[in-house]
Amino acid sequence: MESLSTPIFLQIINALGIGVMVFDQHKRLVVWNQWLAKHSGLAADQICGKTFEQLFANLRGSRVDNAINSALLQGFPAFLSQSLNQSPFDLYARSSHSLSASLIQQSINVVPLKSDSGERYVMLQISDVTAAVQRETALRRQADEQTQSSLQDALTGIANRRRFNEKLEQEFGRCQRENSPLSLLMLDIDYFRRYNDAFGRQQGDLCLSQIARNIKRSLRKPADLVARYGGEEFAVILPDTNSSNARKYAERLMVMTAELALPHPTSDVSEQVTLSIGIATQDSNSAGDPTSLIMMADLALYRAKQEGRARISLHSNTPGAS
Amino acid sequence: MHNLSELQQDALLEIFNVSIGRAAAAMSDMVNETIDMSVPAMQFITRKEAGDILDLKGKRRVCSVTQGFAGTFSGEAVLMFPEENSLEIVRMMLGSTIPLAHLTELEQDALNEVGNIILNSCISAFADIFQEQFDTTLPEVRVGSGMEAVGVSVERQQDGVLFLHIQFAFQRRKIEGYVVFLMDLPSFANLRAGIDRFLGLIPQTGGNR
Repeated sequence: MESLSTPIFLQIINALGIGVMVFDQHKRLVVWNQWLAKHSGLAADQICGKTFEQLFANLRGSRVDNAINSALLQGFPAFLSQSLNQSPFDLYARSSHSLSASLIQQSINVVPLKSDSGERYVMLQISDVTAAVQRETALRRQADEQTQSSLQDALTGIANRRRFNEKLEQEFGRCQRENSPLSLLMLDIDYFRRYNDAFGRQQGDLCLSQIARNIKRSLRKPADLVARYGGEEFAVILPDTNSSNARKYAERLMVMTAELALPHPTSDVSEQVTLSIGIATQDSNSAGDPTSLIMMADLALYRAKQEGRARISLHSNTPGAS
Repeated sequence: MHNLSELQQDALLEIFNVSIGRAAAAMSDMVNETIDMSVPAMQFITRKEAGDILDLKGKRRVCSVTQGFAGTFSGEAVLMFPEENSLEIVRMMLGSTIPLAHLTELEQDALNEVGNIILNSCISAFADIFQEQFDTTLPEVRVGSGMEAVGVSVERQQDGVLFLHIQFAFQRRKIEGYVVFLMDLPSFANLRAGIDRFLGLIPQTGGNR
């Protein structure tokens, strides 16, 4: 190729901030520019003349190989994106400060060329897209975190109401399909307003967080969820749990809360922080929907409070039963 | 614009389907999942009609990949999807799950590559029909309206285009896209003449193929 031996063109190709390699129609390497030499550790005079298969045995039959063949045989150009082709060539960013070198994320253009005498060549242009990849990874992480935090209660770190509603829909549907019972607990802290008045808002927030953490600790299955439903109200979803087991769980939670021994001098029912708990269970064979389940658990909670607080109340469809 | 007989349409469609089948195989290899593609229909229409079809699918944004081609007829081949379809295709190919509303820069690159594979296969169908090689340019991604993708300026509205319906099928989903061949008048005339010559070898009615 006459034009390539012209000094100025050679200088241009070697001055480019991108990788340029050219193969002839026998897939022999004829150009390997300075950028490639620098980032591969292979000098042009070492490797020019060797075939693609000899130089890059691991790329045989790969997308790059097919694109090169397509360019040489049919004259088609190709674009190989970074995300669909994991950095085919061994090119590294060399940092003068560290011993380790990181793989360059590559975006590749494959371009057919034809000389004046009709000979075919194919040029591969390699761009370093590492920075773009890092930017987008950071963006994704941020988007992830934002989604996460929009489902989290800011104060306690447990699920917020939005997440609760999502989860209840999910689990309700699943339990129905799988003929499994679902229990819902609504609970709140007894005389919490007095607690706030006595100790101040900050202490009140601390108490909420401690209670939330405690409830979270009490959960046993990955499918169980505790959420902050309101100011001092929490909800616990227990999939695959019948009312008897839900009651046992509630009793255990009461014990764990008592063990926290948080002083509450202005409470009428105890010297410590206590919970009132309402339980409603959706049996697999009855009709219902998430909204009515919430209502029933709420009613049970209300009854627990009416009956003196610091207790558990089960909602029942059959009047008279407890 | 005379109509093609059913046999003639079928003959052309078969060539496109064989070519696009190769594109589907290449894409399947890339993601290790079965991807099927087909060209269920094609039409010769005007640029304006093409723009209307694209915009009819809701005044939504369209992602397009364009490659120029040159030979006995020249022009641009444009692959188009409504934006949410392209989001779906790219996310499926990359296996990513973050619901960002628009394609990121690198996702656009992935779409560019998918577009390149498909357009190369469509141009290769032409190469088979006309027994010649076309000079083709590198693909370019654009996001905009259907009209913008087709480039409907007033003077060019009545220009003829070859309009292909493309269908992707993978992961039990079917996704629609379009490939439009945009050409100037002399090129379009050459294309029709070339197709007529090719089809002249196909019987108009009856007979076996």
